Amino acid sequence: MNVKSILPALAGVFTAAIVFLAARYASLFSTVLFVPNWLWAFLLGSALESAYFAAYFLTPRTPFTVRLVELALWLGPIYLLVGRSPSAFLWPACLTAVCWLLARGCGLELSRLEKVADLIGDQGASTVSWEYESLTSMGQDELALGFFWRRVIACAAAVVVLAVAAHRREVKAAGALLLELRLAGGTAAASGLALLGGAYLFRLQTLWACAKAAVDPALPREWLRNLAIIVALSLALVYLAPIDYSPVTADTVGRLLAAVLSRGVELPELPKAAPEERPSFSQSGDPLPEVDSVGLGGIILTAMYLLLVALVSAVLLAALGFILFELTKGEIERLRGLPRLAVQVYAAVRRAVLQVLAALGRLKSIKPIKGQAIFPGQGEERPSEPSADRDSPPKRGVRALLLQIARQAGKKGLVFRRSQTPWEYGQALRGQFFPNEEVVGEFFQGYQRARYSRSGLSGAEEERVLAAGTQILNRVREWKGDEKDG
Amino acid sequence: MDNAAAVAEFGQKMLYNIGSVLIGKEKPARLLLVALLSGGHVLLEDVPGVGKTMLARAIAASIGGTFSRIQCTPDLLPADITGLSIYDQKAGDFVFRPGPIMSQIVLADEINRATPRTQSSLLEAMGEGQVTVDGKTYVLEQPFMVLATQNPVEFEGTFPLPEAQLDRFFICVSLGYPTAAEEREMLYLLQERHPIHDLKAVTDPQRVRSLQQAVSRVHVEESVGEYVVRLVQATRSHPQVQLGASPRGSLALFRAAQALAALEGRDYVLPDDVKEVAVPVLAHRLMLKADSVLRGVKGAAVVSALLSQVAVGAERVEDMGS
Repeated sequence: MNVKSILPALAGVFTAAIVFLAARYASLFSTVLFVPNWLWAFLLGSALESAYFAAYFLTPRTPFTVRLVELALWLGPIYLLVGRSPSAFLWPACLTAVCWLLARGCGLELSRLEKVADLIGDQGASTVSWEYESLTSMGQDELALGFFWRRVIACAAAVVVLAVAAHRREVKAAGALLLELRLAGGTAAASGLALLGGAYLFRLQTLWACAKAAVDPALPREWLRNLAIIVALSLALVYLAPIDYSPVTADTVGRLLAAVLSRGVELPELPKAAPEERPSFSQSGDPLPEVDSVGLGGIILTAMYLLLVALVSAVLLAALGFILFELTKGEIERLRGLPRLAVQVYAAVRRAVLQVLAALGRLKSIKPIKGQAIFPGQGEERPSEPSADRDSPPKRGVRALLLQIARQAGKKGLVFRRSQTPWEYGQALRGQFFPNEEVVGEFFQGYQRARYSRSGLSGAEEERVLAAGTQILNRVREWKGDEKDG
Repeated sequence: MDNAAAVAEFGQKMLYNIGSVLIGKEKPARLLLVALLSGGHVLLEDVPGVGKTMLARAIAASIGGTFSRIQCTPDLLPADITGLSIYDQKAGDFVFRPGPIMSQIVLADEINRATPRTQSSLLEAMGEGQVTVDGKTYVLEQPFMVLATQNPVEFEGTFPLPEAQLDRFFICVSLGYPTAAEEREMLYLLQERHPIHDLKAVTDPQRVRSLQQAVSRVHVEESVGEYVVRLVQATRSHPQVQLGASPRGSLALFRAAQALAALEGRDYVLPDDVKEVAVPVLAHRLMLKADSVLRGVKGAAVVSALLSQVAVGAERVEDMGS
């Protein structure tokens, strides 16, 4: 399944929704800027046509007149529909032209993404992982994929600016207009996110085809399904987040908290916001009473409120980070600024949750052993150990003697670390207690045969090794700390 | 039937023979013998001119096996390695002309200059000891060993070895520069004629196969085997490692420790053997995280750190009764 066939459609819908939103907000400022409802169909149609044409047919050799004719085919009917009035035609024509041009940019980028294979050449055929380095080495630091990211962010920012401007000027949308704005906003957000994710998949599909990589055919479907889930979650987050769009505003949460706290502490009544009035974010409203007049309850409420705002901000950032993390498949090195911060917040939250879960898991599995600390020394040893049954401490013989020596030497400061081999420990023992004596070598060679060889030690050999070990043990016991060599 | 003592004797003869050609390279040569006795392949990673090619030639000459050399370049094709079928006009049929891979010791010089497609043509030979050309499979004569070299400094125009291929190299060895005394000795040794031309075989391929079987019989006590597993598993959970050593790495570490013990004349493996071969066997198999690479962390440093952390499992002192 090649996603290229649906990406121009997403680009067209996204562009039309954004332009429609901008036009609707602009119409709140002035009636001159009002646009009729039928223009929505023209915006969508011109955007779709422009995106598909640019993605599939437009080449650098396409005559400029063809482009002009293409645009004129959209503007002509608009001129007729507005009653051939130049003044009424100007604003809808501008919007349609802007929509057509924006969609064309997306279509061209899709076409360019497909040509990445030509840019990469043999190295792309060699391995997908070199694609980024190949482009960088060719001076194309600005990846084509970044275009869609910038486009979506820029368009979203433009609409937000318009919306905030309308809000500041107390220009209110209500009724059908409010519904239109919400629908267009949701459509723009969904199609924008889907366009971003789809463009990334398309890029990968291009590289897979270039590298002749055998990829599971179900992967693109799974990708699109996951993308749909992410988009749905994002929309749910946008509509349910405690902002003005949502019924769960900061004030309603604040009142809820105040109601809970008022059982123990007498809290002042918060002023009720009028139904059509903006709540706490409004310049005209003053939801929090003066601190002096509310005392302890007010301070607690303010702190809770600030905490809530911080918490919500962190959750929103983490959610955005999760989306970006999934879209970029963990390649956060490609992100900058706020997107990178969001991913970092998400990574921190994820790490914290994993650590808590791991700590809970460890607490479950810990069984205290005699003589062993519950928490091992930091960075010293790994928790994995040989099974206790098979390696139960020997009671007699060469191995038991080594344990006695190690215990005595440990009391004198030479600890047998678990990462040390017996031979390494023997060398340390020799350096500490027996600088010039071969007895250590004799004992530890015998120990190695007893411990690791299939045949073990014969009776005479074992006696000799035990004698050497006993000599070492006595020497370690007698060692006072200041002597070096006997 | 050969035993560990026979392997040790073979090792001494080989080291003496190699030492007459290469001065001061006993440790890398021992590691190469470990790989040879384990039936593995070697990646020689070092700067040019330190004796990588000479070491490979000395090994080949010492075991009396067939030797071929592939100078890897970007335009090298897989058929240049595996061989190809050409049309014989007299016979009126296609005749297979074997490539250099059909030798017992194959030196792939500067392997990272070949394209990944060509590099991958070595995979089947290295992994399974056979080559398939035109749908027909040719079993390679044993012992078969690929000695590949690459320059770790120069990356211009190279193709880094993919993980799958790195994993197929039994060990990665670095020769290093000789000391001043060794270099001076080398100058006079090579003054008239290179001794590689006079190098005599000290054994034959049939005997090497027998010694390889002797190595596989070396006893590995259970706690040592567990130590191998713990070490490899620790590479997978190390915070600086993105991809730890594979189960093939465990097998290689196990077999390398056996070979080293046999070269020492022991018929049993010590944890010290595991420690000695851990870095050459495991370090090149680790894929480090990007930030670790940027900080200059090397796989060898990670393995060395793990060796000082992972429990050997010899004795548990704290369990002893009072």
